Amino acid sequence: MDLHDLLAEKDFEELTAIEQQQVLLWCTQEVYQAQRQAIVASQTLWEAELIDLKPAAPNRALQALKEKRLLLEKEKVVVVPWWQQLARYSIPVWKLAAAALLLFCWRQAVPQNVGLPNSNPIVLTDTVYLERYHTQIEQVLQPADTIIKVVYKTIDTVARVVQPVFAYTGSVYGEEYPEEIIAARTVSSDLWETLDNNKGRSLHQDTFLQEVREQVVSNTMFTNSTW
Amino acid sequence: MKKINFSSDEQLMQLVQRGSEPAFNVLYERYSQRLLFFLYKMLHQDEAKAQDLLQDVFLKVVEAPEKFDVQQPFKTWVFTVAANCCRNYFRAQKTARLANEKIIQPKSIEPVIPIQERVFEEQLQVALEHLSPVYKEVFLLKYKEGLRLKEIATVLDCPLGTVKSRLHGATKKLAEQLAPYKAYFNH
Repeated sequence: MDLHDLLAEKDFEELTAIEQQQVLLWCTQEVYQAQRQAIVASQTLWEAELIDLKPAAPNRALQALKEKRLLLEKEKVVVVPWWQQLARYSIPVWKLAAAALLLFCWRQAVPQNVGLPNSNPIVLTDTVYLERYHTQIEQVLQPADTIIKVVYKTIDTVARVVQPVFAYTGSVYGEEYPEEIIAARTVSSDLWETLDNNKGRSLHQDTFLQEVREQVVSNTMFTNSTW
Repeated sequence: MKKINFSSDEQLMQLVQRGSEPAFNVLYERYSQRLLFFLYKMLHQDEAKAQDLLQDVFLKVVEAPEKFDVQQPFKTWVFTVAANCCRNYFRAQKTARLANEKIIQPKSIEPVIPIQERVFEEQLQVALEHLSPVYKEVFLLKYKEGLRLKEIATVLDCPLGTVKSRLHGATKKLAEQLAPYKAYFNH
């Protein structure tokens, strides 16, 4: 036990032999007793001395505590997710009607295709299916022993790559086709011409067929002559 | 409420941290008188000032309860707050000197032995008042509040050796001053 604890609890006479020895190493019996006396007297004095608390003493602290509790309760307010907040939000009918009217007026007043051309044109690729062949048969009246010579001509079968046609998504009012479309038309000119009625040729103007016909006729005549 | 009354100081303080008013009231009931006495003695028996500082102490308990570590004893912490309040007050008032001037002039400690019954108590009162604040707070915390030396060291934020030294100094000084009146001590 510490010396200060001994001083608070025991007179010198009450100490055990070992404790007395320890105390005597530090001070004399008289000094110990004098200090013990001062401590005991002080404690006696304090016991008799009572101070009355002001009844309203903790008011400030209590008020602060209440404020703190309110603050804590405010902090505890549950945070509602935005979608729930949105679901809880009710739109007044008049606002809804006004918005609908505004949208209607806007749709009526503004043309649909007005706007700046889209910088990223949409690529359109058409697939053309050949549905049927039209074969034109020309009846030629020839003698019965006429030998018909059939001439085969190899058709140029090089694959023609049809460039994709770029559709113009912007306004077409009063504007020309973009260069991409014109270029595409140039590449696939055969196809274009075939489809173009104005640029097509009638059969009697076809030089190839005329040649064939002449050859057939001449051969016929030659054959007729030899035979 | 009954449950709260039987709770430890530390448990009550945990409740105060959550804003519990009843818990605070119980703590106030347990410690207000002891703290008031400590402050009263430290402030040279200025009761009004002691009452004010007591409010400050509990205000600090309420305003910053999170500063209290629930693993530590509440008693130590609350007396630390009280001791700091006293120091701040002394610092603000420059009381080390001022307060000494204010205190009641001690009766002569000359070895002229008055023939009154309570002479020893009066002289003890005077001697206690004459103790310097550092001696007085150690002496009060040890022999009035019954704190252990380690706890006092925590309260005063000083080494254990310093506490022992101050306590020894305070006891020795008191004993020396009361020595002439030993005959009047009735134990």
